[in-house]
Amino acid sequence: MSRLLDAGLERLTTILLRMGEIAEETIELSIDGFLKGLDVSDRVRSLSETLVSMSVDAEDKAFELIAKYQPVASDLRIIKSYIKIAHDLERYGRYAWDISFIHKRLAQSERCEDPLVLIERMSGKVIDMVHASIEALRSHDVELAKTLAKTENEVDELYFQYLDFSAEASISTRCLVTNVLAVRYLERIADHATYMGESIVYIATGEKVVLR
Amino acid sequence: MEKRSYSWFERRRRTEALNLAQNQITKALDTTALLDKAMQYFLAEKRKEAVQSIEKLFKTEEDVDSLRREIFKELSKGGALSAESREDLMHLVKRLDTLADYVKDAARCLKMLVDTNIPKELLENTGRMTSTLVKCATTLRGSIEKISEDPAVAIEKAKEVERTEHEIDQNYLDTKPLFIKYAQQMNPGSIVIFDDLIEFVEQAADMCADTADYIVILAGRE
Amino acid sequence: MSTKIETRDLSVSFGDVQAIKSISMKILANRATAVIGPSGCGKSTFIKSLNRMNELTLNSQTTGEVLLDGENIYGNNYDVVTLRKKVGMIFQKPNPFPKSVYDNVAYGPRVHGIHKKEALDRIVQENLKKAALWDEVSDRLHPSAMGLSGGQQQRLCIARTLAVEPEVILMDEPCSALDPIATAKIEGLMRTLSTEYSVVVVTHNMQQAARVSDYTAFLYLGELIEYGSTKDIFENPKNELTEKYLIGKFG
Repeated sequence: MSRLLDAGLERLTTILLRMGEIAEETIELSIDGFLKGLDVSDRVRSLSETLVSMSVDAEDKAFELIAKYQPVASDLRIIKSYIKIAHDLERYGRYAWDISFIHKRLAQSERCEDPLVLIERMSGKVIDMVHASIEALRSHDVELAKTLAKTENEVDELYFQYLDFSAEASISTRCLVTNVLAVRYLERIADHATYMGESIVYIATGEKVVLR
Repeated sequence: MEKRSYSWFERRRRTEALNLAQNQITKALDTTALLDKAMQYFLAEKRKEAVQSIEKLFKTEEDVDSLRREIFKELSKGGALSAESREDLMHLVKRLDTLADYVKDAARCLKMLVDTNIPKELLENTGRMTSTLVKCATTLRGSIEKISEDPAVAIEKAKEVERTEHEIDQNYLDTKPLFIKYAQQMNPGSIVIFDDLIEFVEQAADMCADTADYIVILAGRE
Repeated sequence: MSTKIETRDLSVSFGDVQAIKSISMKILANRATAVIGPSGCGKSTFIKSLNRMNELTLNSQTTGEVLLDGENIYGNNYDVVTLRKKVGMIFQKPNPFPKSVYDNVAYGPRVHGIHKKEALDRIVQENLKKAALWDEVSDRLHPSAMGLSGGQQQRLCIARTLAVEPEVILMDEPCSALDPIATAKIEGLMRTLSTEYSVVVVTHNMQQAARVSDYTAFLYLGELIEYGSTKDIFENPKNELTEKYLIGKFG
């Protein structure tokens, strides 16, 4: 019975790692378009939809394994966590799409000014977090997962600095609203990277940590 | 003799899980009505009543959550319910749990804004979304009720849910640009919370449609 | 009486427009300094240059020096993030975070690593009291800050700034969006805060400047016309322009 479960787990892992690759591409593309003033919304939407359907596949697989094999202990931990992680990866796609959508619809795909260069800094950190979360998933690297807490703090600080100063910045209302929403979506991506980190620590150690 | 008592035992267990599920489904869908109520109260500037509906919603969602856990525990006990049926019920229950989760998140946003002045047009747009969400949920409930009785009707209603979800989607896409129109009247914090609110309503509708998708599969097997 | 901030030949321009010209002045520690002048005189630009917020405006160019405790904040190695913690700013339009009252104040300390509930509780209470808001919100710390009135939101912003232990507090017309009662409360705050922090306030309301400050700077067309103790400026201004402004002959 364990052998069959292993094959199922492997399949599930493969889906998630593939989702990770696509999620990285989606977020990088979306942020790049935003910072450079390019319309990438169609491609981002398509990638995001792929992530949605893959997360459905992952959940299907996970439920199948639970129903068929009634796994326990570490097997159950992994499967339950993988369901959460599939959701986090799908969220990566969703927020990447949100950024492209508001960039297109609210800012007409313009390059919006960022006088304090906060958005660029935030984006850099968020992309790093996404990479780290997926790498940690690949290798079940607990130490790497735990580093996400520190970066999440930094992203939070930039987010609130932006909210604090944004109303005073002399940019168009269109860009003001677009930027405020964009930093919010970036902050949410960072949150999900941290949730992934928590799941990875749980898988590897059985310990439920809060990395925020 | 042993064989007969075995199958009777199995049947009992099947009913229990399904009963729990029926309760969970009802409560999950109820949350949408409570959200809409809160929204309509907010529109009518009846803030105290809005908060009351929201508190009731939170309590209901808690029930949905604990029912989900009970159902999964019940299902993991195995029995003659085929693995396929166990999976099906898990999917259904999980989706409705997620739907209620999103509705709860939307209600939380609404609670944060209840003492703020939000421009009427934004509120009205959102009010349309929440009442359409109730329509979505009611149609879904009708669909679920008919799965075994009349699968063809169940499938028809499931398709209706999908159409309703498109309405909410469109509403959602049209509401975001309004933030620019009203940016001067709202501060960045309110904009962010309001965006979250409509996002959660849209996600709840999505989950409604997702569940309807699954009903089509279930009804197809009957 | 020590100098907290010294500007030396400070000039700021936005594109072709010169907003402030060659301003040299010393702002004293633990005092309240008001900056007054008619609309467009550059007072807002001036105060924003004290924590590099002028960089928020595109095409801004700053020359000269601003020394905070003797160090030039426009120097190459000066850390802007630290600067903005040392020098807090309160804006005209209150801007609370989309969080609870408690989390608005606790946010800063949390980012700096304070996580224990008792410590945060104490910090939140202390700073809400300093901002004269505690009595009004002690029983509604967890609902969203968005539900507070304008005046309360402004005091919450002050509490939030105080929670990160700044040394200087800049206020850019902090009362202009508020009603008279809320204004009176904030003015009272300016007085009490100036005993512990260095407070700089931009205001278009002369009477307010007279009420709350120890020193007053009068700006006109981007230049510093006169600077001295509030008592002297208001009772016996040396410059004719100052006199004209005060008695209402313009602006």
